[in-house]
Amino acid sequence: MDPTTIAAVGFASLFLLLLIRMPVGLAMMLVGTVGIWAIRPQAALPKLAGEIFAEASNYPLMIIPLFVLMGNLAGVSGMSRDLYDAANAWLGHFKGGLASATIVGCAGFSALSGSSLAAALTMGRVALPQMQRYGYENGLATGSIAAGGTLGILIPPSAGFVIYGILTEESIGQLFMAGVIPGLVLTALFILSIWIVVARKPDMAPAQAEAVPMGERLRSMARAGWIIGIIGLTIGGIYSGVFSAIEAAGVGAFLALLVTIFRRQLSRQNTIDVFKSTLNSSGTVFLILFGAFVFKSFVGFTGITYSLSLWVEGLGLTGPQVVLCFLLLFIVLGMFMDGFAILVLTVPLVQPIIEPLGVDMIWFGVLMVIALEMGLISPPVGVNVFVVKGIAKDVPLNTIFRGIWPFWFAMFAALVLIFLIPQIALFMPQTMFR
Amino acid sequence: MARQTSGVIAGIDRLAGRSSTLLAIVGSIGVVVLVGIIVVSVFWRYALNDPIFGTADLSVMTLTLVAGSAVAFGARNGAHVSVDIISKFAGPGFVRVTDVIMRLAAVFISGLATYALFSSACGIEKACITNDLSIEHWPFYYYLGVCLGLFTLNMVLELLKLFQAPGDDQTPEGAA
Repeated sequence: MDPTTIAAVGFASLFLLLLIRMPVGLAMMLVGTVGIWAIRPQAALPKLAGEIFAEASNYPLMIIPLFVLMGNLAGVSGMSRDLYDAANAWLGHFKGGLASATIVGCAGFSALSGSSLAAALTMGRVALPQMQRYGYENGLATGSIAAGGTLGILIPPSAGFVIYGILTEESIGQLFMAGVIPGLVLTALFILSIWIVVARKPDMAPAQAEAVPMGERLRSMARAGWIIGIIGLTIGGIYSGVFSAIEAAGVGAFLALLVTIFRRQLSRQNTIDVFKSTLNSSGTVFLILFGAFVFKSFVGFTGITYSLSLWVEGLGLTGPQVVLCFLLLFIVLGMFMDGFAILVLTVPLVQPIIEPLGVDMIWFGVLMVIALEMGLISPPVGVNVFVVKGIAKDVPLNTIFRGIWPFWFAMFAALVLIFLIPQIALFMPQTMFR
Repeated sequence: MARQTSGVIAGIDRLAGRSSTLLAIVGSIGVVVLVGIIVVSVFWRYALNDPIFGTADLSVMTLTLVAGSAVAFGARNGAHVSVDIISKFAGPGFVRVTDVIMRLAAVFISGLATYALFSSACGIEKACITNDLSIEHWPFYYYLGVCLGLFTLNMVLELLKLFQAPGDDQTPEGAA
């Protein structure tokens, strides 16, 4: 069998294994190892062990457990609640204000945690009871939480950017900075969607409430000062060159730990929960990466990427046209597959095709992450929707999916904006200290 | 006979559970050590203007412990990502069959990875050392091997769980 046929059989086998619910990391590891064995038998086992060790000891990957730890500590210390309360004090009196406050709270929490699921879960537990108490329509309430949670993989620190950066060998610090403005744009678009929804259907949200007095607003901001300070220090530290992304993760986790101790929230149970959750989330990412790099080696052995890039070149398509095709593919794949799975499966194939066409890989990374975010809330397997369903047990799944659409279109609008104006993503990485 | 078998499985399951907890403790300490190393090295660099030699080596070797522990612990807690489309379209009987095939494949590859880590472990004789402190890699290969071994054991327990008679409550707990 020639290597191209082996690659085709490998991809078909991989999709079959994924279809029968094999963990993504193991499926890639299996196909990668068997594929390498088929091409160069003596390389299979050393490559398998070597890639596992290489990823387990990959210096930039320290970011993953550290930022996950920081996010978990923000949850148990009450910092995430402070952020929501502050957003609520400033926005809560507007029509649809609680839903907007949820979006802002999710955006803030996302700046401490790289996980969309953690953002949806943490903010959902705080925000959903509030919105239900004030009579928000269930679709709007749950939709805003599920959509707000997706900001977790766009706003730095982002596990998605870390994995993308490792796979493409782009700077993780630059990718983090590239996510800042798009994250803020998307937050604004989400709030705009809420305003449009409540303007069109006023019964979706209660009437405007009385504004919170300025003194109370400032006090709520002061209470949220810890989390705002940590966010400012970590993101500002990376931007100004004071810290590398890894150091920012370590310092941020340390400060979050100090705040948790200072607030006397580091009980035995909280400590166990925090570390359990940190290890579970980190384990998920590491297993996927172990498999992804074995698979990436297999793809390299087959030479399929070279054949594909020649084929695309032959079609005469420009870089942006190819990017557009891939984005549409990611949106469709996102409806059926987990975002990380799409990331690790496609990047090794996509990069060699688009890089020679002059596509900026940082810009593409941002576009890809937004496309994957859309998958997080797209039916039938939108993971964030199921997370929210876990919190809102009394709300039917259909209602949650119905509430998602305004936010899905907001994401689509963000995607179009960043596609047309790449500087939205590239301004900060180009101006940061390097 | 079936009850005896279930008792053996439950015993192995308890052992796997305790081993996962032990690895989780190692991993948690590892995460704290990572935070400590970074904070100390940043403080030394900025406050004392004196970068510490070799912290990167200590960090990456500690990360190996964290990564291995996390992967093994994640298997025990069902943390590993899979794509569940089939259960939306196929009946429970068919899914049960595909689950058996999937678990067999999972046991095969995780077992092979365990073997590969033990057989490929290398040290100073092949220049498998860290850049600054020359820490040999082989103990960390072995640690990852142990973690993947425990991962495999959890997969085997999950596979046996699929074969156990319905209604038998002594099934392995947790796992992916």
